[in-house]
Amino acid sequence: MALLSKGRLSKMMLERLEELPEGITFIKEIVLMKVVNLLTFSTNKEKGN
Amino acid sequence: MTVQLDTAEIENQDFKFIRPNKNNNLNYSTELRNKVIELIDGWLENNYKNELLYAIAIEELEAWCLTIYEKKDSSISANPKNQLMRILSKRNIKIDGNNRANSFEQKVTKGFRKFKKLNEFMLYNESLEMFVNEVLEQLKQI
Repeated sequence: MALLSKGRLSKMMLERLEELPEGITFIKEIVLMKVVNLLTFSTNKEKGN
Repeated sequence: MTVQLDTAEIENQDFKFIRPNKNNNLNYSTELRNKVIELIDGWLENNYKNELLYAIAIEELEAWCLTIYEKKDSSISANPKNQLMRILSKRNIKIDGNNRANSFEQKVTKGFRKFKKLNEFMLYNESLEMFVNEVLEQLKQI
């Protein structure tokens, strides 16, 4: 899954990430990857792929 | 491709954005999400509309993680980030920079492993539910 971060989309929005406590910044990416991968896996399973 | 954006403090950025009215507005999350999608599409000049997944978190994506730990509407949490950190601290889930395979982030998001669970978590955050439905819709078309 390609992830276009809001930082890449719009630099000014990246500033908010810097306020996050250490360790929490990448949670966003991991959440998205997990959710999308889980849904992809479940859908493929349903389709019988 | 997934575009992620938190709506928290969106009106304080250096672009024009007006939130929909929140008071007694049952469609607040949907309206806000649609406005943000419109904004992103505008930035991208509607070029990638069919190739994007819009992960719009209302108001912060940490509220999606909160659904793993609390069985209540996480979108009304005043500060989901702090609330999440408080819960993790109580559960002794700590940052361990030396263990990449089982990193802090992996531990925190461990709940997002089963489809059945995700269906349950969705009940506690409308923006998570909208994202999940959008992904499922896109996957159906593949």
